[in-house]
Amino acid sequence: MANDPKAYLVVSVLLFAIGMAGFLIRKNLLIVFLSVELMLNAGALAILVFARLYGDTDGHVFFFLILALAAAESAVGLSMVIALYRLRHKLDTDDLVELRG
Amino acid sequence: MGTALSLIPLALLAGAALNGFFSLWSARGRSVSRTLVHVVACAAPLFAFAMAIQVWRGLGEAGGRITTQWFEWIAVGDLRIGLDLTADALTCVMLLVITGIGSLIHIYSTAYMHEEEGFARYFSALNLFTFFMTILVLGKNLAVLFVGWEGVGLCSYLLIGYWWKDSEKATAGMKAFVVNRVGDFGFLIALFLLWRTAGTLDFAGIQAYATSEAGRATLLGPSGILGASVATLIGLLLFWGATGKSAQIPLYVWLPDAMAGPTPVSALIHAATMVTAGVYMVARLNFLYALSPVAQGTIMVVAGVTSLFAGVMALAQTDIKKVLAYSTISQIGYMMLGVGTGYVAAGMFHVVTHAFFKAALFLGSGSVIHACHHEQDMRHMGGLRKKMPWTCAAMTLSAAAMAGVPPLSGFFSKDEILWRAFSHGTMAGKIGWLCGFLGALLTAFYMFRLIFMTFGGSYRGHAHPHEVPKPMWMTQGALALGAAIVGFLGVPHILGGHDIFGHYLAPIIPDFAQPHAAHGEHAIAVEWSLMAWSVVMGLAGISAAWWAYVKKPELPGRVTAKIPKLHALVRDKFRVDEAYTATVVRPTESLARQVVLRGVDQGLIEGIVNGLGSVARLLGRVLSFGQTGLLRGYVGIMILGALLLLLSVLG
Repeated sequence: MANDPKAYLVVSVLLFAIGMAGFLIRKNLLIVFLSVELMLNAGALAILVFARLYGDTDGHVFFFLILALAAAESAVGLSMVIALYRLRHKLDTDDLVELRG
Repeated sequence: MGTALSLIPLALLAGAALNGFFSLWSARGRSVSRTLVHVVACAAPLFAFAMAIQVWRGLGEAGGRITTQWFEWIAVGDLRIGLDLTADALTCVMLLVITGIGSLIHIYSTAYMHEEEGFARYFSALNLFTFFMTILVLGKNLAVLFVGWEGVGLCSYLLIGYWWKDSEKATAGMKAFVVNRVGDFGFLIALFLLWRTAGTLDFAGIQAYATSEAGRATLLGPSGILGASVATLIGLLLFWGATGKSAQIPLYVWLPDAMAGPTPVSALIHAATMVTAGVYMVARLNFLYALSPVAQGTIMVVAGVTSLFAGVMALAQTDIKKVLAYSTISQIGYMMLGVGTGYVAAGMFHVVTHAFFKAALFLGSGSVIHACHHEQDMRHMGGLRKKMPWTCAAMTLSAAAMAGVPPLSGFFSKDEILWRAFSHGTMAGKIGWLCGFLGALLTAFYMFRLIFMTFGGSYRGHAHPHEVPKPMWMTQGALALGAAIVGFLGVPHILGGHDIFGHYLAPIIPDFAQPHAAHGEHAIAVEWSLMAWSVVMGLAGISAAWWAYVKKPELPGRVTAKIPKLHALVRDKFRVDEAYTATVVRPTESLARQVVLRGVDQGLIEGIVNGLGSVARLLGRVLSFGQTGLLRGYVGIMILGALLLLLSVLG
């Protein structure tokens, strides 16, 4: 079981589901952002698992790309969250509805 | 020789471009040398004239036709139209008139436009006009002719509206343009028909087609419209175009208004050259008209009636230029009558003689107007004989030539036309002749009415008239001299002449045979009596004018007082303009306003556009409910979509 890659796939799905649920349920922008990161990493994990399954190194390369991207993205995202907080002093997504049509 | 041919229009185009550049230069507030503009403006037509003489002299060696091909202009499917120039005897006659008389008028203009600010613009347009006119007569096919045809119309518009700040003059220019467009419509349809029938627009090609067995049969066959043959239909449509450009009934109304332009323009464009383009076109396509007696008859009747009708209107005009304008319409009627008989040399000869005497008359009237400080009403002139002897002599000589006093030029050309019409042997010919015959009396009367009112008696105005500067009286004198002697080119056989002009044009006339041959001595007797009668008519007209305006000056007033309504009707030009306004202009305007503007533009097109706009706006309002601004809503929908996609892939 320990060497069965499919278990890691289940972990990936679980992580993704948790992220998705968090995204949908939570109102705090910081937590929402955290959930996005969770989903992103769930995807990255899935890529790694498939790379192992098919014995292909391309997936490993991709994983590092995603890792670098996630780092950059979280830096940008977090700074935006902080900027927003400075402006509003609160991070409730239900209040951020300026783009309502 | 082809180079000389190409240089004729190119020199004029270069002159127009240079002066156009000077005009832009001066419009930017920079000073432009008047002398330089004058030199460029006069050098271009003079050079073209020299080249035209060379072409004319080299024509015999070249076998009667010189052709030069510039480039292929239109190539679509089977349609191949080259920008080709060609010169034959007929073209040479027109070229010499255009560049020769054109040069004199350019020289005259340098003095006449002395006080004007926009002189570079004027000379640019005048050069450009001469360029397009040479293109018109040099065109090897109808398409190139049409380019010239439209080009001269454009220049006419530009020069009529030369004083564009005066809205009345600008409107006169527009009227000329719009009325000509009505004619061009017929002309264009004729071109399409010719292309469809003969498969070519080349003059030589059309002639070859019209003389071939199959082509002749097609052209004489039914066109399916009102029982007319194809040749008749094409001929009448082309003549429709000619009525616009050459100011015949029913499209003559623009020419009197065109007198709003500077007087040298009236002399060059609206008397000597452009208005004869229609005559040239009918003469050029004489082989086509020879196939359609109906079209020829129509031309003769319309032309005859025009010459008489315009002559009557000229009787009651008091504006010196308006008298000349109506006389021009009347004289073009004679030319059309001449080419309508099929013997085109008669009409073309009148084109040449008319170019001389009418240009001289217009330049003379320009001098008179210049001397009287822009006074155009003959009632405020008179007694100018002593103050302007040269102008008086030139105008009197030209008027006598036009009235048909032998042996001046008008006598020969007009009699040739009247005799050809009389001996044409058709009803239309007789009608044309009768109108022309009566018109001869009117011509003599109104021309000498003009002379006596302007130069006879004592001065009735308030200016201080004086003889005009040298370039002006010398050019008008040269033209008057030409008007006196050019007639000897066409002395008929019965007067011991050889009809040099007619023989020169013989190569382009299909049936050159003299009617004498068929009718013998009887025809000679007829020609003699016709000639005698028209001289009598001319002299009677002159005497009547002398009687009414010199001997008994109170007579015209008494006569008009007896028939006030008739006089008012003639003075108001039979209210044709008003009739056109009521029947054509107003309905067109209300059609434009009510149906096209309100109905189509504001109703239909704006309806569609605004309808589409409001549909989009409604859709946007409905869809905007989905745009809540809530992040979770969007993500929910996105996930829902992803799930559906997944299901559809799996299922």
